[in-house]
Amino acid sequence: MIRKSVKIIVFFLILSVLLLRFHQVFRFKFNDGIYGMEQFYEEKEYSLDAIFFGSSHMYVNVNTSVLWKEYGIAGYDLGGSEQPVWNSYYYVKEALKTQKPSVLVLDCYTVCRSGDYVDESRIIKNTYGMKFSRDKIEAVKASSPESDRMGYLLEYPTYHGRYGDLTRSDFRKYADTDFMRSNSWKGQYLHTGIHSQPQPGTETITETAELDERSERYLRGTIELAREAGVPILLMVVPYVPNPEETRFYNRMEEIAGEYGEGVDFVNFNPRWEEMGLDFSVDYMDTCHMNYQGSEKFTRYLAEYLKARYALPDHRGDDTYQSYDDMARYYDRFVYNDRIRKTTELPDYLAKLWNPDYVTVFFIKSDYKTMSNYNEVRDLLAGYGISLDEVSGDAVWAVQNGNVLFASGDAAEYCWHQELGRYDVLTVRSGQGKQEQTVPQVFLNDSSYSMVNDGLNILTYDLVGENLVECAGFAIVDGTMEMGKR
Amino acid sequence: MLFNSIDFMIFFPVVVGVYFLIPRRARYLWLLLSSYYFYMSWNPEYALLIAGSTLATYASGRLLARLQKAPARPKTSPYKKWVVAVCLAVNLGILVFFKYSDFILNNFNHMLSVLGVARIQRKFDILLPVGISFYTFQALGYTIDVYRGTVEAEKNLFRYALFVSFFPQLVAGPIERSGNLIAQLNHVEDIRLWDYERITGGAVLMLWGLFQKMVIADRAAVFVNTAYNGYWHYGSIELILATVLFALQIYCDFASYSLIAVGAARIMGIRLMENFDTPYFARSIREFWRRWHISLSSWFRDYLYIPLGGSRCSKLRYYGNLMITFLVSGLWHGASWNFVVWGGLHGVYQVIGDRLEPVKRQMEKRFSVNRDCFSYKLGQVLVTFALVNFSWVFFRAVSLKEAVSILGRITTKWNLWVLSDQSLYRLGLDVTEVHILAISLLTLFIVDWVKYKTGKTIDLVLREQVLWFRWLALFALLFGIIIYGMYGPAYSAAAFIYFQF
Repeated sequence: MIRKSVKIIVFFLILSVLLLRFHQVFRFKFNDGIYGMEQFYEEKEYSLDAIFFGSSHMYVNVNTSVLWKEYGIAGYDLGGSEQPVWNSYYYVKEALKTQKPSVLVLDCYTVCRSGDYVDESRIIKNTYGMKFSRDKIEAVKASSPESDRMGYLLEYPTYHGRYGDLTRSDFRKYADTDFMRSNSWKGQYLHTGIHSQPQPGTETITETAELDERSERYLRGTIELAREAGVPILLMVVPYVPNPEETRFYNRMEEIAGEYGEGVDFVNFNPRWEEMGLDFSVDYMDTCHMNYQGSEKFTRYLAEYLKARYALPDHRGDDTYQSYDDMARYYDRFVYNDRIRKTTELPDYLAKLWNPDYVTVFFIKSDYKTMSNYNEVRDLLAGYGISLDEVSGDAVWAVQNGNVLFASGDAAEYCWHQELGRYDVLTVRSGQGKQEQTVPQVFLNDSSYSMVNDGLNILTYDLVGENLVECAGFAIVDGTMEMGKR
Repeated sequence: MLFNSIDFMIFFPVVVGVYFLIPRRARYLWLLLSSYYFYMSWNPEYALLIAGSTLATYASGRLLARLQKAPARPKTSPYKKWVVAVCLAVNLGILVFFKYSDFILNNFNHMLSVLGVARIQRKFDILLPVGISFYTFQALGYTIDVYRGTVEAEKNLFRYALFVSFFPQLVAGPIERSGNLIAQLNHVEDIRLWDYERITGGAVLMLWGLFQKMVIADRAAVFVNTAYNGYWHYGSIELILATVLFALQIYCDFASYSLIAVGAARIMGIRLMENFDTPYFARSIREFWRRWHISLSSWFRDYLYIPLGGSRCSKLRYYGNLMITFLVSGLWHGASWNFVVWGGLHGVYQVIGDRLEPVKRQMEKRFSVNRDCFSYKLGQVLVTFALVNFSWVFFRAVSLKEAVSILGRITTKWNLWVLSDQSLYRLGLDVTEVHILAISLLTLFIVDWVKYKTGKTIDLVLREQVLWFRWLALFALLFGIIIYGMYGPAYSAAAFIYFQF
C-alpha cells in the first residue's frame, strides 16, 4: 500500500513537471497583451510610479523609455490588444495588489466600444497573462461567453494545437535576453514604420453621447478601484484622428470624471497635438499608432503634464531601478539599429556600423576592380581593416570591433562559421559541394542573405539584442557602385 | 456531456470521489443520480423517456415474476407472453416514433407521390434522443431474460433504474446484459475503495480510449469528411483512402467510447463486457461480427437470430434468418436505406460465403493450398477488410444514391498521380497532421496486434512491463492526447459517431 502510494505520488510529481514544461513551451507568447502582464509580476513591489492601462493606443504611444530616461519616472504600460474596459478594470485590480503608484492612467479609446465580447485572440491576449486567481476567473467570466469559459481558464485547450507552429523562441524564457526579440519594454510596444496620416480637423464638438451600459459600468468600477486604493486616476485620450461619435463619447467620459472630483481627471489630448510637436506626416505608423519618434514627442508632453499634477519622483540613479536602466540601454540600441536601417548613403552607413557590439560581414561580388569609384569604396572599407587591393575577385570579410574575424582572400573554396549569441550561427562559404558555384554565400542560421548580385553586401548582427540588424546592398550599375542602399 | 469534454473531466472525478466517500448503502442512489444528471446534460426532457422505458420494463419484470410464482395454471403462459408483447410494443413504439418516424413518413410519401397522391406534411419536428437505441435494447433484453427465467426480476426500482441508466454505457453501449450488470449493481456496497490494479487498469483503458477518439478518430475524420462531403471533386485514390480511413475512424470512435465506458466503470468497481476485439484482424465476415460491437451482435443473436431458428434449420430458412438479422441490425444503426443496404451486405456476404465454402475447399485441396501459412491468413484478413470497407461506403454516405456515386467514382476515376503530386495533403490534413495520424495508427496497430496474439488488453500488457516502460507509455499517451488531441475552441467537439444510433 505504502509503496504503491509513493509510486502514485512520484508519477504525479513527474507529470506535474512535464505539464509545467508543456505549458511553458506551448503557451501563447504575444507581445501585445500577454508578455506585458507576465513581466509586470516581476516588478519589485511598490516600485512603480505610473501605470498605464488600455489598448494599443496606450502601449504603443506611451514610451516608458522616455519616461525613465528623461524624467526618472518608473512607468509601466499594462495593456492588451484592443483591451476592453472590463479587462482594464481587472488589470487595474491586479496591479493594485502589488503596486501603489502615484497615478493610474487609463486610455479611454476602447471605452467607446459597445458589445459584450471581443474576438477570441483579444480575449486570450487580455486574460492569459494574469496569474490564476479569483480575479482572473472573474476577468474570464467578464470577457467570454459561458460556453467557452472553461477553455479560456484552463488555457491549454486553446494553445495545445500549436505543435505545428512552435519555434525556437517558444523554448526560451521571455525575460532575459529575449528582451530585444520580444520588443517589449515595461509593456511598451515600439513601431518603426512611417506612414503619413491626415491631420485632425479643427472643428470643436461639445455634445455628448451615452456610453454603452457595460462599458460605463466598468469605467466607473475602474475609477472606484483607484479611489478605494487612494491613487489618483487620469482618464486620457491619446492623439489620433477620432470620428465625431467618439469625440461625443469622450465628452461624456469627461462629465463622468467630473462627477468624482478630486483624484479623478480626464484629458483628451487630441486637440493638443500641435503643442506636442506631432507631425502626422512622419510620426505615425498607422491611423492610431505612432512610431517611436512620435511616441517620444507625445510622452514628453504627457510626462510634463503628469509631473505638474502628480507627485512623481525621479528615480534615476537609484540602484533598485536597474531594470529601467537596462531598458534605457536596450531602447538606445533599438533606436540606433533603426537609424542604421534608415541610413541610405554608404559613407554614413559605414560610419554608423562602427560599433563594438556588431559583427559585420562584407561581401563583394562581380567586377568591382574596374568600377569608376573603386578608390572611394576601397578607402571607405579600409577603415574596417578591409583591403580591396589584396583581392582580385569575389571576396568576404567578417569584422568585429576593428578585428577581421575572417577574410576569404582570393580562395575559391572556403567555409567559415561563427556562433553568435546563444543560438545563432553565421556561416560564410563558397564552392562547397558539387552543385555550388564559387560565389560567396552568407547564412545566418538557415537563411541565406544577399541583396545585390553585383556589388557590395553588408550583413550586420547585433550581439546585444542577438538579432540581425539588416543585410544592405550597394549595387554596381553601369560600372559605378551606387552610394545609395538598395 | 461527451467523454472527451472538459465537463466530463470534472464530472467523472467528482462522481467517483463522492461514490467512495458516502455511506456504502447510498452508492447506488448516487450513481443513479449521477447517471440522470449525465443524461440530462444533453436535454433534460430526455429523462422522461428513459424513466418511462425504465418503468415499463420494471413493471413488466415484476409482473412476469408474479406470474411465474403463481401456481402453475395453463393460462399463465399466454399472460406472460402478453406482458412481454406489451412491453416490447411500448418500448419499440417509443423507439420507432423517435427514430423512424421520418423514415417511414418519407417512404410513405414516396409511395403516395408514385400514386399521384398529395404528400403528408408533418406538423412537428422530432429530435432523436441520444442513446435511445442502446438503453431500449438493454431494457428489452432484461424483460426477455426475466420472461425466459434466466434472471430474477429486480425488486428495487432504483437499482433497476440504475441498470438502465448507468452513465458510462448509457448513450453508446456496451449494451449490457441484465445477468451481468444487475448482479454487480446489487453489490456496489461491497466494492473496495482502494484497489490499485483496478483503478490504474480502468484509468489506462480510459486514456487509451481518449487517445483513439481524440488523436486518431477525430483526425481521420477531417480527411474523410473532406473527401466524402465533396466526393465529386475526388478520384479513386482519395475515395479509397477516405473509405479505409473511415473504417479506422469509426472503429476508433466507437471502440474508444466502449473503452472509456469500460474503464470508467472499472474504476468504480463494475466490470462491463468487452465490445470490440480487434475486428479488423478477422479472417471472415462471420468472425468480424464476433469481434465488432459484440454487445449488439450478441444481443441480436440471442434475442432475434436464435428465436427465429438460427442455423439449426433448413438452409433457406437459415439464410433468411441471417438476412433478417442483418437487415434489422442495419436499420438499428440508422433510419435510412443506406444503413439497410449496409446491414444487408453483411448478410449477403455470409450467405455467399456459406454457398461458396465447398467450392473454396475443393479448390484449395486441388491446388494444395497451405491454410496454416501466414500469407493465407493475411489474405483472408485483407479480403475481409476489403469487404467490410465496401460496405462502409454505404454506411458513411448520406444516401444510397451518394454511395452508388462514390463507388462509381472509385471504380472509374483512377488517378494514381495524386500519390506523388502532394494533392493528398490538401484534404484537410497537412504533412504534420498526416505524420501524426500515421504514427498514431501504427500505435493502434501494435496495441491491437498484441491483443490479437495474446488476448490481453492494453492495461494488462502494461501491468506486466517494468516501471520505466509503463510510465513512458502512460506519459506518451497522456501527452499524445493533450498535445495532439483534437479539441479546444478552434475545434468543434465531435460527438461519437454511434450517438446517432
